[in-house]
Amino acid sequence: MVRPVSNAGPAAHADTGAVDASTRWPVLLFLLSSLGWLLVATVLALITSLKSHTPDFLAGEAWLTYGRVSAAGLNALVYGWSSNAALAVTFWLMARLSRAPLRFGGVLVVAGGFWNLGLTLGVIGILAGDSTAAPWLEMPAYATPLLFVAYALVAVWAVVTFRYRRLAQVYVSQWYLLAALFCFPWIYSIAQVMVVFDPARGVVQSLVNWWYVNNLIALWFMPVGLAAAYYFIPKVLGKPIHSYYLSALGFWSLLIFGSWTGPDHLIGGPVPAWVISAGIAASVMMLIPVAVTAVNLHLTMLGSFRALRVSPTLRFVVVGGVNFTLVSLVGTAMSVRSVSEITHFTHFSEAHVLQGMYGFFAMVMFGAFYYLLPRLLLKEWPSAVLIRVHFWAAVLGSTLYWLALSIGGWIQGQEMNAATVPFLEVVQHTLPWLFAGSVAWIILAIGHLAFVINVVWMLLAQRPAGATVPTLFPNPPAMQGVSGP
Amino acid sequence: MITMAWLVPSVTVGLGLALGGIAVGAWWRAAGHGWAREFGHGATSIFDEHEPLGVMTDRFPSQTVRRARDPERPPAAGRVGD
Repeated sequence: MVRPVSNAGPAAHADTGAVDASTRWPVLLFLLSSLGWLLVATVLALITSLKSHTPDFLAGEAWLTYGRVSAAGLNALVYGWSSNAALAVTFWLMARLSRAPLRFGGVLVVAGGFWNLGLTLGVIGILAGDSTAAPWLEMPAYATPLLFVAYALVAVWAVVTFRYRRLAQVYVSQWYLLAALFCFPWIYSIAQVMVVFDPARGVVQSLVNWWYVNNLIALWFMPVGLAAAYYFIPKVLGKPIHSYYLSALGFWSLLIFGSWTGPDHLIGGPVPAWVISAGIAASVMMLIPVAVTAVNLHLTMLGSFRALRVSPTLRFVVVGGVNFTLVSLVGTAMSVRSVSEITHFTHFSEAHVLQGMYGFFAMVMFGAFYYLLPRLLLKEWPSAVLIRVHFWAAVLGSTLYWLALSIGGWIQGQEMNAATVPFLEVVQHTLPWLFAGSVAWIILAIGHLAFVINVVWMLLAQRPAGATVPTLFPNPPAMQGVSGP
Repeated sequence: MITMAWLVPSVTVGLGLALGGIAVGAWWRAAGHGWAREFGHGATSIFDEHEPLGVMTDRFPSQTVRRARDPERPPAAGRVGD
């Protein structure tokens, strides 16, 4: 039997409960902020989707025009929900993996204030018409300095936390988190300078823009999502990752190849051919980290799939992991020139983006929240029914959206390439699929409401008197039979 | 004769070789100090005496909330998940 490794005696490690308690206020701030932005993004995305097939919907107001609402919804989803969630999970995981109470929590609270203030200014600015029109960088220039201030505070905290960790061993999740914390300010600052503040000339601007979008996913969201998956799957099951060596291979191959795949978004554009070819080659090489991670996590789960019936965290994280594999394979396929001829500039790309940001990243974050909130608040989730509603709505809604817009986008791409098909006819053929996309967003909204209601109910519920540990496991021996060999 | 046309590729290749050599050297030294033998132990570093190996640490909420309010009520038999 493998025993847990400890590099020091029990007295040198802070009690797990003490570590969780130290993270309470900073993590709660970012977590609750992320939920607020999730609701905002859901409303804006639903309006965007409705407008795509019913252009007269809310057509009277300038701030609700398609261009403004879609950009505001994307930024609320990416920087509001996803980045707040990423930071909340990062803070909790870094403290847990360092086996030391979170220090300087006040710094993180201030950072949270700056981050969300900057975001609010940015989203309002987009709706007011001040968008930069650069994809994924639409927030006006007056809002982003606040995000830089917030991130500078987070960066200082991260360095101090890692420096004063009490466990010499650095777990795989920490590699991913440290890489993400290092890469995000680097890519964001370069993109802001070269696209927004002092735009580069001509095609270089597009290259930098799509380099940034690709790296935001490959070097910020993907590492944080994988860090959470590598922690929560073994932690919930009570068994270690199948191959620690494979996890190292997955990490380094992601870092080496992930940042090069941006140019494949510009296939067919006035960009040097060698740049496009390098992007396509890197996209194909990304099969290595994807396959390695998928095999490692699947083999960890092997023999323990019954645990999916019992654990909400495992359900969300495993579904997120499956979507990680699928979206990466689709992304590699889309980078091939013959496929890109059909999928480029179609709804297929939108489906791919949502599958990545929601089907993978959001699902993993939901799973993480279901695990860490009871440990922060020392209360149990009030309603299993609401958890099940959230899970099935998230799975059904994201799958429906992905399928509907992928099929609609494929049809759209093939017909646009046929010179004999009038453009109006192409639009009419995509309408039913866009309508299905709106239905998908309504289903997702139901799931999000169920989750938020459960969180608020939990916050308002009374903590059991004298509670010092989560109330989840009054009878832990009943759980042991499910974990497998 | 060294010209500007050769300078940039020379410096780039030279730097690449130097950095790659340093990386390989660092790996070699770490392996010589037993890093590879102890590397796999990191997989179990997330477990401790509070959350040990072999014990699941998450489940759907079941009767815990009701039992906490009414300790006289016996736990109901039934499923804890779907």
